[in-house]
Amino acid sequence: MKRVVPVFNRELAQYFNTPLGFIYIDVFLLLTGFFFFELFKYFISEQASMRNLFQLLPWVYLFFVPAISMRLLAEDKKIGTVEVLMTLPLRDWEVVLAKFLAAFIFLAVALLLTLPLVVIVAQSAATGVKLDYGPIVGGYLSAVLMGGAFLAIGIFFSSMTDNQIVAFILSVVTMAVFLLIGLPDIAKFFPHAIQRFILNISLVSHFYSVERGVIDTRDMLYYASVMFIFLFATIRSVESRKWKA
Amino acid sequence: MRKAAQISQNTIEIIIIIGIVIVLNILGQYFYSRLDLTEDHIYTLASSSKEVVSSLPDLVHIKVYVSEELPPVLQNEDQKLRDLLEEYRASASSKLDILFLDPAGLSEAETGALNQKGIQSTQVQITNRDELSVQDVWMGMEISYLDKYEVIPFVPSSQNLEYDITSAILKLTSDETPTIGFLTGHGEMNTESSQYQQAPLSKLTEQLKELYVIQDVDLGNGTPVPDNISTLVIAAPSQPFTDRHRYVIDQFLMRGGKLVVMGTGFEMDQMSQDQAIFKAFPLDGLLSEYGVKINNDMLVDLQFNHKIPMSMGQLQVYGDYPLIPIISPPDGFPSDSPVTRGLEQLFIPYGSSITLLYDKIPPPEEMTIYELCKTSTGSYAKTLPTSIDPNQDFMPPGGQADLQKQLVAVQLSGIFNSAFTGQPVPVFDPDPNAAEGAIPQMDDKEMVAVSVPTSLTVIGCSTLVDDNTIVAPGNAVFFQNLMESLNIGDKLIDIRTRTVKSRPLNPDLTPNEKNGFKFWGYFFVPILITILGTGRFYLKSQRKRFMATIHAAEKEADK
Repeated sequence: MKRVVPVFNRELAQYFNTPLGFIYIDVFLLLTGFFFFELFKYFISEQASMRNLFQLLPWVYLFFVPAISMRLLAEDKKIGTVEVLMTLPLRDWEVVLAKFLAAFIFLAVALLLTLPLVVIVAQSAATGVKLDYGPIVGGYLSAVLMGGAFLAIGIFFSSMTDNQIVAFILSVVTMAVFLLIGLPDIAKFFPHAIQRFILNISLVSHFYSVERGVIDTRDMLYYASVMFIFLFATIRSVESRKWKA
Repeated sequence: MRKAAQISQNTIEIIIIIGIVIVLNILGQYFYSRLDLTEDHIYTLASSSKEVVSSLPDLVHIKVYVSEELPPVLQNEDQKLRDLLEEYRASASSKLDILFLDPAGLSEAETGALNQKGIQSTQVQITNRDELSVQDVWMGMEISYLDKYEVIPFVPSSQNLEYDITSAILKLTSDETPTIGFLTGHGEMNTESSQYQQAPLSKLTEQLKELYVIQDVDLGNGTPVPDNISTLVIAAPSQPFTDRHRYVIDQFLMRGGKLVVMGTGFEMDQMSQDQAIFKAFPLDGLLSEYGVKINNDMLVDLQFNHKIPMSMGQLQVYGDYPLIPIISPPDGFPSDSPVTRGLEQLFIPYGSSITLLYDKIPPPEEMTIYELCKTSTGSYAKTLPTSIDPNQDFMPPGGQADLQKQLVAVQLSGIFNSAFTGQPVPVFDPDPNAAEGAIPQMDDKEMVAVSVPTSLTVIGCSTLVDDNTIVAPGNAVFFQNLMESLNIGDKLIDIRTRTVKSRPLNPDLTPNEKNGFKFWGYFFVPILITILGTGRFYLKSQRKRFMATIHAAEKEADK
C-alpha cells in the first residue's frame, strides 16, 4: 500500500496542475446549481429540501464521471507513459487503485463543494423549521458511492482502449444501461423471471434507497461489489498487455 | 496459443469473481442491518409498533397474499413490505406468524373466501414482448387473531402501512373496542347519511370505524348517556338544550366520560348567506361553568390562511382568504400534547375564538390545560355581524395593534366540579307519548358533584371535520389523534404522524433575497475555484519565468 501513495499523490495533483480540473469542477457546480434552482424551481417548490439535487445527480454523473475517467488509463496508453508506469516497481493493481482513488477523491471534492447549497436551504427555510440532516447525509453518501461505482466502470473502459472518446462513449452507454434498467418503465420490458434481478443490479434503486437517509448493508455491499468487479476487470485488462501472442 | 489460453483463463477468473460477488449479495439480502438517519426515524419501525407486537397476548397471524410475478412498478413495494414485516417479526418474539402466499396456488374456493374477506386481485397494465396487457396482481394482507381478522386489501394503496398493520393488531388484540357517541337531537351534524341527504360527518365516522364503534346518542326526555359510551362528541349543535339534557351531559362528564364539543358563536343569516350574525352557542352556559367560552365572533388570520381562487378582472388568481386560518407548528400547537404531535397544519374554516374563564377552572394541581390550537400573531376576532365576502378589507379597525394569537381549541384534563352543584336535579323532560296524568320519570342515579379525572375538549369551529374539510389531511389526523388520546392512549399517534414532514420555505422571502440566494448558490464557489485556479497558474508561470531567468543568468555567467 505504501507504493500506492506516491502514484495517488501524483495523480491527484495532476487534476489541479492543469486548468482542466478547475474547469471540471466549475462546470459541475454551475450545472448542479442550474438544475437545483431553475429546473426543479427550488423557490417555487417551497420546500427546504435537498432531495431534488440528489435525485438528479445520477444523470449529471452520466456525463461528468466518464469525462473524468476516460483519460485515466487511455491517455497513458496513447502517449506511452503506461509502459513507463509499468516499469516502476509497482504491481498492476497498485497503479489501478491509485488512479481510481485519486479520481474518487477529485469527484468527492467536487461534490463537497455543493455544500453551500445546504447552507442556502437552511437559511431560506421558514422560521423555526429545522432541516432534516439525515437525508442530506444519506444523499451525499449515496452520491459518493454512486460516483465510485461509475468511476470503476469508467476506468475499466479506459483500460480497454487508447482512445479517450471511445472510452467516454462506452462508459456513458454502460452507465446509462445501469441506470435505465432500474426504472420500472424500462424494467417491464424484461421477462418476469429476471425483472427482480434486473432491478437489483440497477444503480438507481440502491441510490434512492440510501439517498432518503437509510444506510442499508445491502446497498453498501452492492456498491462495493460493483466497484470490486470493475476494478478487478481493469487490473486484468492492464495485465493483458504483458501477454505474448 | 499462449495468449488465447490467458484470455480464457482470465475470463474464467472474472466469471468466478462475479459469481462469488453475486452469492455474497444474495446472502446479504438475508443478513443485513439498516441505519435510519432521518430525524424521526420514519423508515424504521416505530417504538409504539414494537411495543404492540412485543406484548401480544397470543399468536397473531399475518398472511400476505402476493403474486409471484409482479410488474416492476410493484417490486419495490414488495421489497419494502418484506423489510417492514421482517422488522415486525424481529420485535415480536414467537407470537407473530408471518406467511407469504402466492394466490395462484390457491383453489377456487380459497380465492372466493379471500374475496369475501375483502382481499382481491387488482388489474395492473404491463408490457410483455412489445404488447400491452393487463395482469391480475395480488398484494393483500390478512391479519388474524383468534377468530377475528382485519384485512388490508391492496398494500400499495395504503398511505401509511405501518399504521394500518399496527392499528389492526391493536384492534384485534384489545379486549373491547371503545364506543364513541355522537349526540343527536339538537341540530348536530349527522354521522349516518340518509337516502336523501349525505351526512356531514360520514367521512369522519368511516375513518373512526376502523378503531371504534360509532353510536348515535339521543337523550330522549333526559335518559343518561349509555354506559358503553367512552367519549361523547357534540358536533355543532344549533338548537337549545333543556336543563335535563345539560344535566345528563354534565353527569356524563362527572362519571368519567370524555366530552368533545365543537361549535361557533355565530350562524349564517338566512336572508343573506354571506353574512354571519350573532348566535349564542347552545351549550354556552354549561361550558362556562367548566371555565370555557366559545365567543360570539369570527376568526380572521391575515398571516397564515387558505388561498382561494378570486376573480381579478379577466384573470383568476389565488388570493388570501383570512376567514380560513391555517394553524401550523411550532407556535400554533403545544409542544407537550399528544393530540397535535407531529401535526403539520390544521384548517379552521369560519371559526370562533375561545376564552378561558380562569376563575371557574380548578387549580393547576387538579386540572391541566392544553391550548391545543392558536392562530398566528397576525390574527384577530372579528365582531358580529360580519360579511364572509373574500373581497372585503380584512384589516381590523385598530390596525396592526389589534393583531394577536387567538385560541381555537382547548383541552382541560383533570377533576371538574358539576355545573349543577347546589341546584336541584332537573326532572325528566315531559314525554310527549306519555298518558295524561302519568307520574314524571325519576332519576335513579344520584348526582355526582365532583368528577373523577376526565377530559373536556372544546373546539371553536363547527366544520373542522365535516366532509368538506376532512380532506385536509391535518384535520383528519387531529381528530383521530384526539380520539386516540381519549380512548386508547397515544400508541398510534406517533405512527400516524410519521411521514416525511413538510419543511416550508420562509414565506417572507423577497424576490431580491431569492436572487441573492441564487447568486451565492450559482456563482460563489465557481468564482472562488476560478480565482484559486487562475492564481495557481499565474504563480506557476511566474515561477517558471523566474527559473528561466536564473538559468539564463547562470548560462551567461558560465560563458
